[in-house]
Amino acid sequence: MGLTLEQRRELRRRKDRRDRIVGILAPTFTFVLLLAAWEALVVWLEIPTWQIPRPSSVFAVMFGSFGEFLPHIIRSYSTIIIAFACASVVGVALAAILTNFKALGVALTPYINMLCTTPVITLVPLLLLMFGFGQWVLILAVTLQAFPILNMNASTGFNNVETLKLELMGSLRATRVQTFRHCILPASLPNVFTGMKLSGIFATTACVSSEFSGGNRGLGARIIAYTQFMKMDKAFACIFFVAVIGLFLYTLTSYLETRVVKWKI
Amino acid sequence: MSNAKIRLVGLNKLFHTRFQTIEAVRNVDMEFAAGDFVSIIGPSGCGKSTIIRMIDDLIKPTSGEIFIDGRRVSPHRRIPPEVIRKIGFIFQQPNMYPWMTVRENVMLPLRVFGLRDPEWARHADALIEMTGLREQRHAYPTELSGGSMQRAGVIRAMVHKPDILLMDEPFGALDEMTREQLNLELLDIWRATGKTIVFITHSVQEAVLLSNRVYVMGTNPGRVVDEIAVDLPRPRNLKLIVSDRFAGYCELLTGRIGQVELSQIK
Amino acid sequence: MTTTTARQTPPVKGKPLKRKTEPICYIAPIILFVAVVAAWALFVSASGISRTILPSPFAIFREMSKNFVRDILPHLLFTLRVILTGYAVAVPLGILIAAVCSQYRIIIKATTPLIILLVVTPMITMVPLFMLWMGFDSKVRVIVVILQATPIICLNTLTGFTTTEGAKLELMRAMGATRLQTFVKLIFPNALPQVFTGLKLGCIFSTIAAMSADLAAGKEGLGYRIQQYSSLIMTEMAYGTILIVALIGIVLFQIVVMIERRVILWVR
Repeated sequence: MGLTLEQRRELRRRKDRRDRIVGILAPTFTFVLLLAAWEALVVWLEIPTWQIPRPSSVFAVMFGSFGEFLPHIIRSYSTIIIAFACASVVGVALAAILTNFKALGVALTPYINMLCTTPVITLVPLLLLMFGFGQWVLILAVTLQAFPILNMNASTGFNNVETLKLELMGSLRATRVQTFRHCILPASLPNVFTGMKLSGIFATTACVSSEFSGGNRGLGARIIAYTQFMKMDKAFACIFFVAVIGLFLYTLTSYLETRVVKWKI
Repeated sequence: MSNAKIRLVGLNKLFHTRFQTIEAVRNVDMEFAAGDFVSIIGPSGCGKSTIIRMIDDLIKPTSGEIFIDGRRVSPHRRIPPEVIRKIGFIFQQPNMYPWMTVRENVMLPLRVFGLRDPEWARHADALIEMTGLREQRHAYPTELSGGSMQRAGVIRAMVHKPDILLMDEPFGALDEMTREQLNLELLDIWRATGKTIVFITHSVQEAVLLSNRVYVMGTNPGRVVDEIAVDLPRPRNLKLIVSDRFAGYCELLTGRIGQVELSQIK
Repeated sequence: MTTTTARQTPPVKGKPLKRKTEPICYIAPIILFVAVVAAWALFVSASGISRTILPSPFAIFREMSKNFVRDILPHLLFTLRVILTGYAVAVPLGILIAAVCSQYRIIIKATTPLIILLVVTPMITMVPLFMLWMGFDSKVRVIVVILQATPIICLNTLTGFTTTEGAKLELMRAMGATRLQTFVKLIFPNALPQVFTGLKLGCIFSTIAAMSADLAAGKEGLGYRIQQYSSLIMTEMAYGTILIVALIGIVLFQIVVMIERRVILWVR
């Protein structure tokens, strides 16, 4: 108790820093180890590169032929990011509406939850056929696939705020909007961010699989093409690029979470 | 006596659970004069929290009426805002919002009521200063001790200058030392501001130390069993606790509560 | 000062009120369903929209009932088998990995980001490669389901395993419990809510993975049928099959929810 607030915060910050260093070093080490084992196995067992490429050659291709990948990267990344942004807005806004108007929520929620497992992406070929190969069709489909899981998580959060916290708002006779703004939303931010992480994963998966089935643009389409021509190093490079955007959305959300949810120690 | 600040008339409350209906409060009449400090004491389950929540309209009574300043507020469809702003509610737990700093928490009622005048913010800061939380005003509640948090809870309920403070076992979760300290601070506040305080507790000592009058409640169903006036000199301090008269009142109250419990066993 | 006579009164017996599941929870979605189908049918017939874009709900129903047994059922069974086999492997695997990883702090630190990496990488990107290595085998799909579902189950379970309260752990230590006892008696039951979150997400991930795998490695399965129907502009069948897939996912999800309610009795 003898420490001032600033000193305690400083101590915590120092501990955080130490944790973060271990948190970066340990996985990096494991990752490098795994790649080395992969490389060694391929060399040692003399697996032909058209079956499993060496990680070193995958990295070489990733940087060496970057220009070849670039248009597809742009295509896929833009689809994913725009769809993710749309899904975030739609998911949270819809959850706010559905939890505030009980009748609407009760009626709609089962169907939105069903949408989680609806393979909207399987419709993409049909949609492309009808509307042409515009990117917005893909964005629409990916958004549809990504927002329900966020909606589900956010609704759970909005519906399960502690009674005591709500009673404070009740005692101040706060309006619905005020209650949502000051109490419900901040209380359920952790759920919202979990939902966003999941919806990022859904968006990435949906985008790649829709590219599998329709058109010849985007990383998904390239993976199919490269495997057909046995260019495994390039196929793996595409997989890595997909992993990068998936990881980017996840870390972005985590970062936002630590920035916004400052009060969690 | 219609000049009472708060008047409860024939208040009843039934709670429905899955298996049974519980009569939480039966036929309660209470009166709280302006500027009075009244405690409600009783064993757990006697409906004291329910009563204080009904006064603040957090729970609707099944039947009965509540008047504040002679104006019927319950049953009432919409309580006029000027009545709401007369009340400050202090919870058993500090109930600080963890996502706001101490100062933001204290200012919350001002934001909800739309009191934007800088005069109000100055008032809030003065309260923070008064309770010695200045150093910690930008800390998050998780960084505070239990006592400091409850202090913040008390001044949050007072920041919009209510006439009435409803306190639901506010210091029940604190250790004895902190509790005594906060009791004295509360007495200072009361003396300085002259607010009407309704204080719920299960501690006999606390009730005697603080209040002018004590309602004793019994369980099954929750109802008023006695009303005892505490005629001790003011200002009170901790020296009072060792006095004979104080001990006498404690004994009287303890006896009353014990009687209630005995009669239930029979 | 009068003392009210303290009479002992038993609590008033009322009719038991059910928690939450009021009839409206069942009725509202059904009403909405009927309303939407009616509006949909009306819209289709009034606007004269092409059936290739939006077929009428009755046409979907008609086509589905005509072709279900011959065209859909075998693929439905195939897909179900893929999802269930994959899920049945992924659940113990995910929990096992989490249990092993959670034993040492340094391993948790080292592996969590890798598990996250696996979670965020769509495993269907591997489908073409698997096909190259293994051919058009249904095993490919099962593997994809396993690879997609295991990490998410593992990640949630791991979070559960690593967030046991210190006081509870101290209690086990004070009683001299072994590592295994601590895990079985404390850590695992304590983590069950998170484990079930993982299991529920696993259902969704499995379904999605099986569908996406069908898209890339077709010849069998509902995903393949949907693709085929849409390329043949048999829109009614495509929509109908999609509805069936959605039902599979939500039924699996609800089964896990039901099990969760039976197992976790202590939360509320």
